Amino acid sequence: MNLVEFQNVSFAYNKGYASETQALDGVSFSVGEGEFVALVGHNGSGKSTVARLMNGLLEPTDGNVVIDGMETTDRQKLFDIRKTVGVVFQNPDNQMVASIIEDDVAFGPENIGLDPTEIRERVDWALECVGMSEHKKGTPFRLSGGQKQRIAIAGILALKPRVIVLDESTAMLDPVGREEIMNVVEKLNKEEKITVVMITHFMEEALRADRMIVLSGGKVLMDGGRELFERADELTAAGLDLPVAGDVAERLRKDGVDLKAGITEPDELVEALCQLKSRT
Amino acid sequence: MRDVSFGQYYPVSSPVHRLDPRTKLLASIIYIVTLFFINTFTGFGIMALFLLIVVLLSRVPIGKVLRSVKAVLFLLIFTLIISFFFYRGSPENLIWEWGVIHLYWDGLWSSLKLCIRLLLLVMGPALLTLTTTPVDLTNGLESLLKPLALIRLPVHTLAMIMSMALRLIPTLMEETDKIISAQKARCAEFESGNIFKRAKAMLPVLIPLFVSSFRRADELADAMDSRCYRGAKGRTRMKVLKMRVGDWLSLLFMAALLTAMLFLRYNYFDWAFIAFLR
Amino acid sequence: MSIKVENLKYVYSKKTPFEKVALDGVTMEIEDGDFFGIIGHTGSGKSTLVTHFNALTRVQSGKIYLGETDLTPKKIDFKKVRSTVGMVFQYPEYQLFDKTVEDDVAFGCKNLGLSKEECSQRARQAIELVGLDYEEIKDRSPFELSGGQKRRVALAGVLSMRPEILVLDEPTAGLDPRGKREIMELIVSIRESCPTTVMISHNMDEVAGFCNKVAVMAEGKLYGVFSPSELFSQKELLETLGLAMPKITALAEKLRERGFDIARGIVRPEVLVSEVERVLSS
Repeated sequence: MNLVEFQNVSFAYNKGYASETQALDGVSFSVGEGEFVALVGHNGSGKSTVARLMNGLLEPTDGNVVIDGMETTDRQKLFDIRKTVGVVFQNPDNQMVASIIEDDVAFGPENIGLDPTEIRERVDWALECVGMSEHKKGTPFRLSGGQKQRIAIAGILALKPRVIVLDESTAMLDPVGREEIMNVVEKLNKEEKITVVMITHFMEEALRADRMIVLSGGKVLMDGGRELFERADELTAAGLDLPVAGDVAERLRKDGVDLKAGITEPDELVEALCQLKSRT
Repeated sequence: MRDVSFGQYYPVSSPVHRLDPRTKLLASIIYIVTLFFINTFTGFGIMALFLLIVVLLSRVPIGKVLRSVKAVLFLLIFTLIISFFFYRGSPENLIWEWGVIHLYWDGLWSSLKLCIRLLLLVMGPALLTLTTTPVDLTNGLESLLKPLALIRLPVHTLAMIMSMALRLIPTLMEETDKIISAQKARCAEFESGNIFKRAKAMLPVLIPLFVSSFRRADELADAMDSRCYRGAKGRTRMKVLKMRVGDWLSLLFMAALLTAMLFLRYNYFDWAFIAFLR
Repeated sequence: MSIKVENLKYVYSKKTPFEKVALDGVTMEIEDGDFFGIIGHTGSGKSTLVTHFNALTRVQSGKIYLGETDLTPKKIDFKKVRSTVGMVFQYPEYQLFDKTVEDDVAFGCKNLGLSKEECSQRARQAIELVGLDYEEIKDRSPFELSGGQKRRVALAGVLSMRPEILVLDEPTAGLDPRGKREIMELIVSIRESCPTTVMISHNMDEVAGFCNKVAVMAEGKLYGVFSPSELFSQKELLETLGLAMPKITALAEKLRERGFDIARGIVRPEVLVSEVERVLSS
């Protein structure tokens, strides 16, 4: 059974009012245990709605969202669903509940009623995982965006979820901060075996995932691995950028240079061009 | 910018800082109650000495404690003058009279006592906030008020609101600075004109601030929900407040101080007081 | 109009335990017609530097000239300075407040004391300049617009003062790739009426693609002002400062290392493509 299952899910904001807006329209996909999935799409494609549907902050207007066998519409299961799927949001300043870092990380475990020694262990472990242990007694206000966001991740991690959803958690960060987050996320996926759903519009980040789901206009446009980057025109039409190596490869191909489709990594392109050069 | 979340907390390590916040809260309450029972200069002298010793123990500079008086200085002088000038005493201890103004010796003494009481009343709690972080205070308050939850007072919610406010104040101040800069860049003026003009000039700051506060509150609520928050129900705490020997001893001492002052006040064994005890 | 900065120093929270040197002797000149990029880490002093340009931050030590005007004296014509140097902060949509888009855009003009007709005419021009439909949008509440529209309206709110220099702090922050591209195109088109642009950015691809000069800041100091290809061919400098190369430059660099005889510091994909094709066909 899949850990996350979207079955023909539709969602409309302000349903039944004049301002009704359809955010998702018949979206189906599933995520298995241990996967690292990137969910990409332009602003307004419905990405963030997916994040909020995944832990029952929103209920689908149509279709089902099933987390580890539990439907998010089942309010009895909501607590267990939120223990299974943790969501990290975009603005690090709006996720912090306490004025002291370790107290903030402790918030989740406190809510699920663990005993103090266990909470302490989890907090220390979570802060260690994101590399923020030395700041635990401090306040978040003087930290960089990347550091604040790592604390937000620790706050979710302390609940020991099986899935972590990052809802554009890198969008407000500078390149250094983004890299910090990507490294933490990759580590959690590889070492802690946590399933990751990374919502982003940075294609360089999507490249680091095992699989990519492209949303456009509230529908799933593509779902698959690296081969999706071969469909350059469709990606551009969906308001997305090609990774730079892919872009250059595409331009060269159009000019008649003999390159295979779907090149995404700089090294791949460099290798291919070197072979071409040695042939001439 | 200074961290507002720390209030006026003075970060040093001292026996007073290390006390449980509940001890400090209770001690402050006993201290205040005691002050209301005292009406002699000896009594005030003892209390002042007590406060001085605690300040020295806390390693907070005395100047910091005295600074708290600044806010009430005007009130203090006003009280002194009013109560001195309007006191009606007996003719034998009249100091001076001129027209309707009569000044009496006992008027002077009682006004002075009033002022000393006010001074001590302000400085004690000031020391509390100088030695305890707002976060600890909130936790202490929540724990002390817990019994009130039985009569359906939302103690947990109130404490949560308070700590969230503490957490958000610095963020909102930073935001206010940013919005003011942005509007100044559009040639807005905040420093000129009469009070109405100035109030109106603040609208371009207050409206965006409100809008963003609501947005923040929304996102914060989502983040709290996502972290399994459901109020006080089934919630535990990582840092459990713990009363140590020092805490109990301090409280015992405060109780003794209160009792001693009561004895002083009620003239060693005042009959009414004994009757009351019976 | 030009901006001349001479030995500018700035210290925050002077004489307190929180004292912090934000600018440490910066000297530079932004010339008329420049598209001037400023890069550096968060906290390197970029923001403190640019807020000096419109006298939001006042000179503590050093000199700064806006054209012929000295910005050092305590009393200066703030309205003149702030309408000449239009400043667009990060996430400018959070400054919107008025009932209608038109009123909000005209806010700056009203503060300048212009007549009602003049304000409304300028608002119209500014709204059209940022690529929005004036008639369609002017009476709507700025709060009901989409994110991208809000940002354009906020930009129009600065442009309505008819600045001669536009200062932008991370104009594309938080936007998706298409949104980023559109805003950058818009900024280029604005240069026809406001020819001097200063842009703070973390996005090296944008800096490389649009700026003609790039100032590099680190810990309050100016490392130098370079042309993009000059800057991005200095791999070592970028590495010591912990700044990334534009992705396209990094790719070109890899090819050079593998024996492709192409120019250094390539910052545009089309240049790299033609260079590679030249090498392959030779």
